[in-house]
Amino acid sequence: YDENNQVVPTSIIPLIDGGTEGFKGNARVIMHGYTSCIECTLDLFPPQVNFPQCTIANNPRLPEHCVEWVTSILWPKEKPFGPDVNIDGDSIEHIQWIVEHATKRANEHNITGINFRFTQGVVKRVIPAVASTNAVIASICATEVFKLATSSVLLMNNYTMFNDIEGIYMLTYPPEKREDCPICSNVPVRVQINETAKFQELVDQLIEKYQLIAPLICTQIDGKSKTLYMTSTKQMLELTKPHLRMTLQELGLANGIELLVGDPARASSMRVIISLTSSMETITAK
Amino acid sequence: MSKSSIPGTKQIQYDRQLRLWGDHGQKALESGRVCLIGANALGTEILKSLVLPGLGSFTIIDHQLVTIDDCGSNFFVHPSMIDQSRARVTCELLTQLNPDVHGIYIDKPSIDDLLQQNTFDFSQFNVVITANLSINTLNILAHHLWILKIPLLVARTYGFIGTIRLQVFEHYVIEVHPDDTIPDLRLDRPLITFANYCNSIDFKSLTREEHLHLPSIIILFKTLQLWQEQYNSKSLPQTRSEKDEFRKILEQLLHHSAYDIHDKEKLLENFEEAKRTIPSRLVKTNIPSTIKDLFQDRSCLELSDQTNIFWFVIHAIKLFTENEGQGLLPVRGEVPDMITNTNSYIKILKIYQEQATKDCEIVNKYFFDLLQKYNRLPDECIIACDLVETYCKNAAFLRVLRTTAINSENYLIDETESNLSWYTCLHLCDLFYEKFRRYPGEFLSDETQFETDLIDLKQINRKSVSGKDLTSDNKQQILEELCRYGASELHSIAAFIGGCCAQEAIKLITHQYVPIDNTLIYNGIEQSINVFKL
Repeated sequence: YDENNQVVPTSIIPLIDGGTEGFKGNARVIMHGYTSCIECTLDLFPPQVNFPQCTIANNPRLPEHCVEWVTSILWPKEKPFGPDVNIDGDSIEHIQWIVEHATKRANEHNITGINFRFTQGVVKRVIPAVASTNAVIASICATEVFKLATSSVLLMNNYTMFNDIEGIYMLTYPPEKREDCPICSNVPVRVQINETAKFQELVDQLIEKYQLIAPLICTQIDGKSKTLYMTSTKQMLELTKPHLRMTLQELGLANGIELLVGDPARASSMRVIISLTSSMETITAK
Repeated sequence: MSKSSIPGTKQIQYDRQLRLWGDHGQKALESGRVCLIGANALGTEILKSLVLPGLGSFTIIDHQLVTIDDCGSNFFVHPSMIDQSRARVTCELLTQLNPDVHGIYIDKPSIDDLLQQNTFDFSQFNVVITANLSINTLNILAHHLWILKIPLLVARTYGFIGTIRLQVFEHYVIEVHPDDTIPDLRLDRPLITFANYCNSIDFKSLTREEHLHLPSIIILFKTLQLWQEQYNSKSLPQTRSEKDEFRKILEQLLHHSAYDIHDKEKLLENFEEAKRTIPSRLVKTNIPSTIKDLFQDRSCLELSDQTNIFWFVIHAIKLFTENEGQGLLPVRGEVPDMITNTNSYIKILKIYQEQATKDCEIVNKYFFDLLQKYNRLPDECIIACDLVETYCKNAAFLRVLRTTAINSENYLIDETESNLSWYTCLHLCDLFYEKFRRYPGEFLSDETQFETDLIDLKQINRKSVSGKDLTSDNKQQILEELCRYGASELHSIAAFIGGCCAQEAIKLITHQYVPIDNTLIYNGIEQSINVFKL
């Protein structure tokens, strides 16, 4: 982006991305700043399927529950291949051990359906795949690169979904670009937090919402830059750790202040504007 | 190949796809025989996606030699191979991809001569695939295969455009694998064992634990019983007010004497699940119209000793629904997971599974009786066991696919702005080829040649569209673009059509998943697809 907040065309590196799962696949052409990017549509991804703990521990009903019980409860307890040996999904011995114990548990509960292939599928979270779908999605990506290189025809706009389970179906449409996307727009993100909250809460909220690993947070207060949180060196960790226990007020973070958040999970820093709410507002917002 | 023992090398190699079509699907694929006519980039891309998953065998028919043009678009030929037999070269390289696959090639006589001599046996193949075959040869081949009742896939790439046309007399899809299904729980026509089980539960004397873990399906059934009693009905709540009444009764069941004051705010997950699943559980059980059509199909009603086994099973299922099934298909026997304790879930699962097994046995008996009646017993005995079970499990989704013959395609006047225009214009290019023995824009000697070709092409368009002049702007642009392509073959477009076409062939060989019906047009400019039933 230039000083007028306009995208600089020569700075764009097009990103062509594709993925497949069984008979389904997708592909997209991203021109950051013009089209939507992966972050813009991140919340469209469905959450991972996880079984609740009480089902695994007390009420198994499906063969998957029995396998999960072995991998998450029995294995850490018995450590069958050594004290520090984790489950290796490709090891036949590991999988056999899991099959044996999952079958025992299954038999205790009259559950059927456990075998080697099934178990390995659950342990490795196997995604089925076929040559044809991969060929199709790869070809779409290649065609788009070809178009870019030759300027012979217009590029795809900009996201495609493919499915050949029943007949063959393909839908191409441009998902909307998020105006305040932390990655491709130059607009800061707004985060709401209660005015009496501690800094720890704000850090947790940012980590959860943007899937951060070890954020570095700094800001400008009265013209001077201040590091609020940093964990990369022991020294800085010690210095900034007390901040977590302080309230936002104590740290000097007023309503509308802009923070700069960097993180190993992100290529560039995020601009975050804090919006303080009173207790009443926070409850109704929920 | 069994799933319970340690996997063999083949099972490890094919693990990812075995999870899609199972051991029996893989077995069918490994006995599959495919014929490819045209070892160009498109042809080899199609075979690639068949060889990698373990196709049994293929035969390539192509009399041409490798040219420099081929090297520009085909991964499977190399400049060092120029002037060698294209069929031989590609056959060798393709079999390298998977040593388990058996490949042979025929580079003389040409396909035209083979068809003329009429000594080649096409019925040895499960599927015949053509890749950019010229229209004259294609018409003869299509007619021949239509008579033989062998499925034909016609694949084509032309610049950024690709098409696939399926011609099949009759194809059966046994395992459709629908993406999303409503479970076959039959709350409106409850299984006797299920109703008995529910009635045996004394709601009032449930303990706290039992109430907390009451399966949502039992909650819904109980509510339904109360609702039916209260409103003197034998069916499901239909109107808005009836559904509201239903929900009220459900809410009342939430309260139970086993709970004390401390539990007041407790969220009962099983009741939440019951409320959430009302739309998919409280549905009318019936036979889908597609299945009713199958029951009424001539092939089902007029069995003979020539009829395919598929119709025998359909007829057996029909007899079941008319008798023991009381108007319904055999029970599927699957119960979705629900929030409850192990014992309750397993008990319910067993009820449905046992009923499914019982129903299947009855269908099996009808099936055997029919086989006996029409003297089919000796050959079919061996396969029958598993077969009927698969049909019963998928009874609600069984499908028959019958397409038109390619030769009977009437060139419809295309009024739409969709991809169909590309297909009809490609046909005009074929007419150009018939007249001039080359495609428009191909072999351009100079600038003016392009203009001349374009004019000729437009002339053909005007001649073929009798009466009205239907050359819209869109069509004019398409004709010009096609002329620009000059029948060129882009590898990435070939890869796309290759992948799609290979998967269609796998669907035909395994009888799993529904194939296209019957023409696919791929537009690589917009990245869009349309499937038309021509």
